[in-house]
Amino acid sequence: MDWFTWLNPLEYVSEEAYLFWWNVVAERFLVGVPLRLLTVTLLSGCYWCGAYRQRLGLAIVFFLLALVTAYVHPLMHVIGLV
Amino acid sequence: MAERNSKRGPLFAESNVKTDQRSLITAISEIQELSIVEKMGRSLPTHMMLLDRKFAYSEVGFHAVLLDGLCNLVGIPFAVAVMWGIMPIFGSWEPTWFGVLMALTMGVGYGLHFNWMLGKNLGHCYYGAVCRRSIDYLYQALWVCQAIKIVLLFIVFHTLQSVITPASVQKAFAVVWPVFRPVMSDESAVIVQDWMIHLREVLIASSWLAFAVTVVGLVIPYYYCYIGQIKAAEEHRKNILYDRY
Repeated sequence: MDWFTWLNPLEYVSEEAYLFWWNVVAERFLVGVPLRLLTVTLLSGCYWCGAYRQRLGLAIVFFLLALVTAYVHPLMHVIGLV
Repeated sequence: MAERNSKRGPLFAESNVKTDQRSLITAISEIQELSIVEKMGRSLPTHMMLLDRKFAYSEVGFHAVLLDGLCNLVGIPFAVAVMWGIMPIFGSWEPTWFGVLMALTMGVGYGLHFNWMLGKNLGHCYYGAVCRRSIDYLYQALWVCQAIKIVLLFIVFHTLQSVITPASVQKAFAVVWPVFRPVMSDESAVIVQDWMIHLREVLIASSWLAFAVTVVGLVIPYYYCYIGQIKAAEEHRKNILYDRY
């Protein structure tokens, strides 16, 4: 498994330095990303069901869920999405 | 011979077949099929459009506007509030470009997307009497329902704007406060009241934004149809010229 060592970042930098860098990247780019992805997915579901499949009830449910994920932030804190 | 006669079907096609509600994909596919026939130079009889198809195509337009109206009703005031910094999105009072994009998509995206998709898929089929008529049924339903939607949105937004005053908000809160008291602090109640009064500011702008977006949305299919019928006529001309259709 020697070929694998060159891929391991801990061979080049210390663990503290690496984790510091990772935390900066995560805080800058990843905080709230699951919530945003969920909102985009729900909205896409709304468009798909509403426009293409003509399933109005399901589309309304998807739309309301998208509204909740986008605007009701305290609830997202409670369920741990942010 | 006797065996073959015994396997014969009914004299007339079954007439009590339940016509399912057409999805948009089905409606578009049917119109595309008709357009292929007409582009090949075969003129279809105009009475080919049966009543169930007329209603089905109108129904597709009606359903689209129903959901679009709901998106506009809730999404547009929220989107304007987000852009004016009155309301947070994804927990931020200063929205990023993604937050503004999502707010607008929730408010106006559905209608624009629907019209764009109709235009893109049906624009090149706007050729020949039957196809034109089919597409016109769909668009007529869209026009009528969009007009009703705009009138209703104007009435709702302007009524809410006149109804939501600081005094009326306080009065309404006094009534519902006993219900919310166990789950809401005094500070939260003040924040909610402030937010409701602020939301009043966006309602008139929201009604005009809804109107503008609806007009833009209705223009999109016509643009595609205009381009599409020119291309379809050219295609038909080439078919006659080279393939002798």
